[in-house]
Amino acid sequence: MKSLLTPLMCALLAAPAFAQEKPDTDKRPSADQRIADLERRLDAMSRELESQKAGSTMPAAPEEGRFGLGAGASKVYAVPSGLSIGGYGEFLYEDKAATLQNGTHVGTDKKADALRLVLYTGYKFTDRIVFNSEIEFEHGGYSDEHPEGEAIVEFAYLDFLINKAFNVRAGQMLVPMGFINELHEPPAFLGARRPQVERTLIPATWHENGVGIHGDLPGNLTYRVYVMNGLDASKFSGSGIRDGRQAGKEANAQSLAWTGRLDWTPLPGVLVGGSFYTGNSNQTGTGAALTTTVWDAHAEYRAQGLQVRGLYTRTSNTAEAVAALDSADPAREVGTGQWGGYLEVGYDLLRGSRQALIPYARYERLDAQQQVAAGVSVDGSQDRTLLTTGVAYKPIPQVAVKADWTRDENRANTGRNQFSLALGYTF
Amino acid sequence: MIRVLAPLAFSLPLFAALPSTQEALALAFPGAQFTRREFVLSEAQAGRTKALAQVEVPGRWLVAYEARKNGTLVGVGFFDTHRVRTLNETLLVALSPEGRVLRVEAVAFHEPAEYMAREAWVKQFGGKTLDPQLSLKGSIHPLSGATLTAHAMTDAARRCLALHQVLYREAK
Repeated sequence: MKSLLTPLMCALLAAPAFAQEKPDTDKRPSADQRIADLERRLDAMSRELESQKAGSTMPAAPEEGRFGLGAGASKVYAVPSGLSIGGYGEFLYEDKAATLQNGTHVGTDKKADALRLVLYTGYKFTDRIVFNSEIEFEHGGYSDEHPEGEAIVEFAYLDFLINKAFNVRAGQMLVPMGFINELHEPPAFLGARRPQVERTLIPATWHENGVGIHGDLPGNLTYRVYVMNGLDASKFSGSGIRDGRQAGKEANAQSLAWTGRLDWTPLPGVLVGGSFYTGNSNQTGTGAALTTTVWDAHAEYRAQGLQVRGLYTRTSNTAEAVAALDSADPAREVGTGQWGGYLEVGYDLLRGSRQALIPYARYERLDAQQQVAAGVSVDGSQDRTLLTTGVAYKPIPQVAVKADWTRDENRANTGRNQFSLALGYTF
Repeated sequence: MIRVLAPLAFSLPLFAALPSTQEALALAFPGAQFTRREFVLSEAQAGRTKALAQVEVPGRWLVAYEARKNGTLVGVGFFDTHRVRTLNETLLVALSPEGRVLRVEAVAFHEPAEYMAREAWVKQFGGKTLDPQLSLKGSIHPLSGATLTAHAMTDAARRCLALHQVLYREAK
């Protein structure tokens, strides 16, 4: 029944419409009028298409005159709000030498690791309030069977955009130090693995909870200054401050820290800057302050296929406070003075191509126990010299395959060379 | 004090403030009058443009904004929309009649603001012509921390220069 009624209803409803469109030869527009009407419609549609394609309102009627620069016409972001998604990942194969620097045979050690899968998610609530986050799965992710993996929020913050020079950021944020901590997508750095200096002394990826300001200043300067929960010295060790990171997980915030950076870009391709972190790492709420201070100076030059990057960093921990720790406490072995630096050079051989083939070399020196508290024996294995040589191939800028050999030596003669192969991507 | 500072702070340009399309054209061609002109590329023109640009030329329909002063053509502006990472940006690429970049200006950027190219970096495109040096391995210095933005902007400049070559210079 329904199937019979439907065409009938359609016919009845359509009848008046057809009646209205009955040709009226007396009022029929001329060919010129119809062409003009079609042109008008086509023009309106093309303008609409142009605006849709650009995601921005296109000039309304530019033929009508000159454009002003009235503030009222200004707008910020073409799309008022929206979701932004990105990510990166890397797979790493490591083949460690069977023999140590001193000739001791320890057997081979080969691993294939789904090192990272990272998803960025951002959301713009308004022109002035933007959310940004990074969720990371390391070593294949976490499960009860494989607890060695990790699923972690690396950052999740809100940006309150006020003006070009002064904006407020709050939440879980990356400590703005060095090169790698804030910018660690695999195609963005040379080497199958991150520089050892930026894993040990600037313990990337280093992220804590806090609030701060950031912006651009005149003279091609950019800055960030945050106050964050500090490190936890009870987790320090002879290998450095890395395990003292709290990663925002119910972070003990009895003692806060200041961190920041200033970068200067005098010319495109040239970057010179510095960063610092200083704060009390004694999170017990009692006892003397154990102030940890880290600073670095860094520079980069990129042009004509050449990329050169250098970084120097020093770390100090209050010697008296470290010395006052229990003699059996591994944290007492932390270096009260630490230093390190590296120089990295790469050159793209495929200058005329959109692909890239970049042989590179990186020389690193670091000592996480340059100075220690009285009574602590210095571990010579912390005084390291690494030379990494390899090649990176990028079929497109977002994908990199990197292979390198690292000669890893230390003062205790227990260094272990290794071959590394990495596949990385970002989107 | 806050009553004074707060309105002042919010009246300053936003971190990612972008000009409107009209403002961008006015910045590129101050004092000029504009004519909107549509083109539909033939297969041959599209192929020629791609060969010159060495980048993809999506679509066949496009709009050029011709800038004139006292009736004389002083330049052409193309609005080029392309993907940066997963989202789009739209650039005005303003060109001189001889085929030199006068100015590149972002009018829409949908990725997070930190991926935007700084003004000083974008100024590199000024005066550039369509030659093999117009690349990140040539006369354009790479942009640390925003590689995909740098690639997208360089490709857009090449695409617009090639369109200008085909539609204005070779069509004469």
